[in-house]
Amino acid sequence: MDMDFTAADLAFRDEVRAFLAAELPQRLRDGMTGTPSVFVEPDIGLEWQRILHAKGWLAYHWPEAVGGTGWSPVQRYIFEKECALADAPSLSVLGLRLVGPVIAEYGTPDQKARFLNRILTAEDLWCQGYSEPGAGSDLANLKTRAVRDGDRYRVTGSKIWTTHAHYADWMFCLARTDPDVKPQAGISFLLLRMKQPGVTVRPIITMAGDHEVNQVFLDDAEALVCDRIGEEGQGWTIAKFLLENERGGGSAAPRLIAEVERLQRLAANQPDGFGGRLGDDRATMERLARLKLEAEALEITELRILAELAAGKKPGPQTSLVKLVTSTLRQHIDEAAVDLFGQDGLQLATERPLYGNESPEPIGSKAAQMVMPTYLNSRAWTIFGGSNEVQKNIIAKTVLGL
Amino acid sequence: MNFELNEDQALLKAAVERFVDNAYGGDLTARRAARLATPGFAAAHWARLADTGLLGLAVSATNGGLGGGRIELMATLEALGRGLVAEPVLEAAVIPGLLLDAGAGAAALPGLIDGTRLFALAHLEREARHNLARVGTTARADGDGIILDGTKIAVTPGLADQLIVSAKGPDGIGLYLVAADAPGVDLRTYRLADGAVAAEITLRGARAGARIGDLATLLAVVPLVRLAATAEILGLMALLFDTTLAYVKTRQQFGQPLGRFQVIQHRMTDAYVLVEQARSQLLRAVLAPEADFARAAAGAKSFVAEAALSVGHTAVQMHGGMGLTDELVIGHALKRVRVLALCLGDSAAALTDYAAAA
Repeated sequence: MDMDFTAADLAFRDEVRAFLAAELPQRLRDGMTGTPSVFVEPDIGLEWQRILHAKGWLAYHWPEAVGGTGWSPVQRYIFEKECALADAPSLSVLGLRLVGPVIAEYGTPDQKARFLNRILTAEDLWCQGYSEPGAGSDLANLKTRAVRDGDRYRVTGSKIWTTHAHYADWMFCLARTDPDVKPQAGISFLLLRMKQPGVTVRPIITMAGDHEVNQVFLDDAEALVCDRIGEEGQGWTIAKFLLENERGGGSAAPRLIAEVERLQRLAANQPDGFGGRLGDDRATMERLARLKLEAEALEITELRILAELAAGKKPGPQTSLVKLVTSTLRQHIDEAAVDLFGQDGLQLATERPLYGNESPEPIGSKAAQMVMPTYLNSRAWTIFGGSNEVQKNIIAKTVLGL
Repeated sequence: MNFELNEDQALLKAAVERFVDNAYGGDLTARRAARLATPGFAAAHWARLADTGLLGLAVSATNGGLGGGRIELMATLEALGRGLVAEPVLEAAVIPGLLLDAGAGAAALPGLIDGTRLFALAHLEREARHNLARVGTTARADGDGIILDGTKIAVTPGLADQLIVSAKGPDGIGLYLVAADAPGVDLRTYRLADGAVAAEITLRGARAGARIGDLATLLAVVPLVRLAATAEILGLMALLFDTTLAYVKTRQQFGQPLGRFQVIQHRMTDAYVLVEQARSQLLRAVLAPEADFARAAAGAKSFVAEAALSVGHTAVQMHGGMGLTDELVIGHALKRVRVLALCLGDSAAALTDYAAAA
């Protein structure tokens, strides 16, 4: 038993570090640290995507045959960890992590040829049409209806919490093609163009003041039959494949550890109100230490899953464990961050973005300006991609056999 | 033993609730409009609060106020919290009212009570964190006047025209009236989480007006301020809880209301316990003997603020995606709780005071 990287892995790590040092512009790092929402805006994310694509490192979750890097699970982990430590922008998961692997797994050769490369080049931006106003945790209850009309479907319904629908060219969506069978069996996985008459996007502003998600109204919107992924009625199987990718398989712990360490450094400089620094305040430092312990445990949990993947096993319900721990831990870190800055932690700028020349002047410090909107948006972590209540049900049923 | 309001107190509460109904009418439209106004609240609402006498709530009757005590503060602030009111009654009426009333500031009170002058306490400093006894701003004599230098943070309301500034001079820490537009007073306004306008204020050779008290004056009103903040937090907490309870009874998932699921029932039960315990802590402080009041108020603020954040997080989670938006009262109430939790120090500072006084 050991937790060591091989010499080849270490050489790869050095290569990634050198690449990040040379190719990741400060502007993009600032964009990442200046983003309080879950996703970075396209002006930051797409530029990083272009840089990675030029290097051939963009589609590292994809099979090699469709443009993947052929990295081992350990290499993927090393890459994500180094990116996190360098404050590299998070890549939009919608095309790269969600619909890309679905098309690679279930798509026809024609669909692969038409869609996959345009995800890499960012010619197509994607959004996800899963949740509906009446179907959140109970996703299988979705009502959006797709009616066959020759070589196309007419799609009518409403999707909600649609991240970056206001930027997207395409939506991958779950729609009911057969209302007469049991709910899961009547769902199909369709791709539809966002820029067409039957699609309307309504912004939803978060309590932090960010426009990240939307409600999308589909009113006789068209989806071509040749753009359906898999068979009619196979949508639920594909949806579950996608959700497992959404919930886990990545490496969240390195970024969380880095964030706790950043708070520890910031605490060292925060006044305690009595002439000293918070770095000497026992309650503060013990709180941060507890968060660090949990993040370190999560890292090993992720590595244990990684070792199973490396041994050829499929990602399964343990992704729910990672999602559960990651989401609550992230919230606890963001709550601690608010408290660290005292009164300055209460500022909530209404302007966006909070990076670049136009960003509002912070009160106290840039770090203080970020904590409140980050904390507020962070409440989403235990809700999206399957709420924590749903994750616990999955673990209880699938893992524990209860 | 009796935990009910008497007739006068109930009438006061009813008057506040009437104001809330008329001004806010139960949806977020009026709150949004009030927050977007330049000072961060609606001038017309402020004038109505003045008309009802509520701006003088904490001011003694001899100085023209309502002479409200702990019970009146509780009844009023709880109703304002419950109504998610944007007007800074706590910050611009209760806190300065108590200070001016207790110290030598009675001459300034008519302007506060009739709403023609907007007051704010400028006490907190970055280096002081949550320690109310630490002041770095200096006061020095210059001829027959006093000159102030230093930086004050989190001054709310940020666009107050009259500041009560704490500063340290040869004779200890004093509280001085300073006009916000006086030479040497620089304001940087910004928005707080709850949408209020706050200011960071830099004093560079600013000339002080009347000295209305000292550090002891300030520390003496802290228990009542904590009580008032706690009451507003409790009102918000009840709003969060009741809204969420109604939602889980109606929101259908998996063919039944969310509230039919045991995990939701238990989580709502935990929240219910917190609301009831918080109300008890507040009442305990309201009814504590005078000798124990400061300690009880510190304990209540710490306990209730922590409980309210927990209930607020539950409320967001139970509402799912909707809870994260700006479209429900949930987010607005949670953000106001966050701000109130740091009113004159955080929960930990209040807990320290409570523990130290035991």
